[in-house]
Amino acid sequence: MQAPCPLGQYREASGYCVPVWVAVWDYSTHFFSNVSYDTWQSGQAEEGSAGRSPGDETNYALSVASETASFVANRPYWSDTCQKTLADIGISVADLPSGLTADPISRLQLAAGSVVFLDGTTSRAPLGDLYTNSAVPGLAALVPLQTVADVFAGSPGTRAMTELGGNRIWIRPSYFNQIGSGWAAAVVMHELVHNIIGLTDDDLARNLGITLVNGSRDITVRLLTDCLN
Amino acid sequence: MVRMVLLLLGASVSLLSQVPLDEAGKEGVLQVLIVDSFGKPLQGTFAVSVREVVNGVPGKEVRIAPKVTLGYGTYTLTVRGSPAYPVDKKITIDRRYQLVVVPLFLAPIESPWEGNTVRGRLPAGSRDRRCTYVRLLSALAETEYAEAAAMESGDFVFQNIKPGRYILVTLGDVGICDVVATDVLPKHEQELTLP
Repeated sequence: MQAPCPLGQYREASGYCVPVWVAVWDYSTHFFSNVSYDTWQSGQAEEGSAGRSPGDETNYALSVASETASFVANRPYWSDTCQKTLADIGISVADLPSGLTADPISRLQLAAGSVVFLDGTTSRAPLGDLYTNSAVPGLAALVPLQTVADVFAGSPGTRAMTELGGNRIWIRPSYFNQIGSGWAAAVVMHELVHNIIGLTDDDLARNLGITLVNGSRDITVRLLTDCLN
Repeated sequence: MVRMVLLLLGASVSLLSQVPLDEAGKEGVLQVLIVDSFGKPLQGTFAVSVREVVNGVPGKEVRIAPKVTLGYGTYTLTVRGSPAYPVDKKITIDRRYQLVVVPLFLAPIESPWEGNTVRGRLPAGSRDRRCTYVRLLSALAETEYAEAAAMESGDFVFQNIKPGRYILVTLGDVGICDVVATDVLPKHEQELTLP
């Protein structure tokens, strides 16, 4: 019986031990690159960006999302086009408990100030919980008995998910760690709209008068174009 | 003179036969019953509206109560209630009382919906008679249906079927073999229960 290969190597069919290559995400180029196991290990030890542990990656992504929400909450200037788009999407002028009246932008900013971000890939929250504040609660009975993490695992295209009419947003950390700040703001705004008015993407698209060709992304693009340019 | 009267009479009869009955001013009661995809009546906050269609062009959207009196004519009825897919339905008010059943299907918060897989096996009678074409039709919504051909073994698969009550129809050279009611449950994968 042959001796096991050293750490970081594997035995080829030829019988020789050869180095293992590890695909890592390069945060500077935004591409995967192959590095040797040794290099990868040393990067892990240095806690460099390429070797960020899963826990660090999650914390980093959650901080990116929170900073983005803070940007939305505190941004002083918003265009009239944005105000109109938010009104079209369904955020109406509303009276606040304080007696003040909030326009769509103000409601968005208030929601951005109270949002809570969670890691969708590990959340054990039942999917049905996201629907409990909706206008037709009876439909929540038709939600599959899955957790939020189940949905993120089964649907790789899901980058973020929101509670209808609540203040929680679940994100996919690996996604938030690779997108630019402008797009992140548009994604967070999109999710905040779900929080504020409790409508699903199909309703939002209808309010905007658009047909979803690329799914959720089309609404985010509209918000990016009208509000963040 | 008699000839003139007969001519006028003939012309008026001809004119009457060409012009549809004047239904202007006639009204009918429309009742909208909103149910889930299993047929269970739903409670909640809905936005129900109609747009009268005149000469093929929909008019202004008007919010209505689930029970309302409308003038005779054609309308686009829209029912929205989050988290359901919005529903548009063309209706014609031409009776004094009519019921419209509007089933609502659960929509995902984030689109697109990553669909489910629904498997099944042909009922024995259909297998025996080689009825291998399968249609799965929502029992409530005419827009929700799917078609598949079963394999030699009798197994078939559907994808992206929204949860709800369905009618499964099997067809072959002999025509329709089986018509069976079945439920697609809110699960990512499932096996249909068939006889």
